[in-house]
Amino acid sequence: MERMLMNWLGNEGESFEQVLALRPELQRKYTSFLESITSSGDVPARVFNLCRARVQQIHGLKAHGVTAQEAGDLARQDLSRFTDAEQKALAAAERIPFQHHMLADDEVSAISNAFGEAGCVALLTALAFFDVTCRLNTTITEAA
Amino acid sequence: MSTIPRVGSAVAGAPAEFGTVMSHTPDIITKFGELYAEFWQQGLISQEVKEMTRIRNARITDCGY
Repeated sequence: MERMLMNWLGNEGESFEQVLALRPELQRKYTSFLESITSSGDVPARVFNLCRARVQQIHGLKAHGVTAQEAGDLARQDLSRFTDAEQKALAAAERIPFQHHMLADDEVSAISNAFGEAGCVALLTALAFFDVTCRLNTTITEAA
Repeated sequence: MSTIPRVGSAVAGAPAEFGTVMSHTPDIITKFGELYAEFWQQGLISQEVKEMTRIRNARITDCGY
C-alpha cells in the first residue's frame, strides 16, 4: 500500500516540491506564498537561509543554502560567529520543529526588537513553513 | 506557552489575533489566503476529511484553533 501511495505521489526520492507539481495551481500559490515571505524586506535573506538550514538539520536533513562552516557551526550550536540578530532568529528556529510551546515571550520580543513587528511575523511564518516543508519532504521520501 | 499576544494587532481598534497580527505583512497574509483557499476548495480530498485531520493535528500540537 505504501509503495502504491508513493507511485501516486511521484517517483521515489522526489522531494515535496517536485511532487507538488501534480497540483500545478497549488504549487504556484505555495511558491508565491513562500516568495512573499522571503521578499518581505524586513528580514535579511541570510537570516532566512541560516534558519532554514538549522530546521533542516533538526529534521535530520542536509542543510542547504549555507556554507560547510556555517552548517557545522549550526549543527554544534556554536553561534558565536553569527550576529546578535541572527542568534535571536536561530533561537526561535531551534524551538519551532519540536519545542514550539517552549518559545518564550522574551525570545519573541527579542526578534521583534531586532527585525520589527512585521519582521517578527515574517520570520515566525517562515520558520513554521520551513518546518512544514521538512515534514513533507521526510514524509514523502521516507514513506517507501 | 504564552497567554498574552506577543505581537500587536496591525489593525487599529482590533484585538491581536491571527488575521490582525498577520496584517503586519499584508502581502504574506494575502498570499497565504490564496494558498489556503486553493488547499481547502480544490483537490480530491473532501473538506470533511481535511477538517478532521486539521482538528486532529491541532489537538496533537496543542493548538487552540
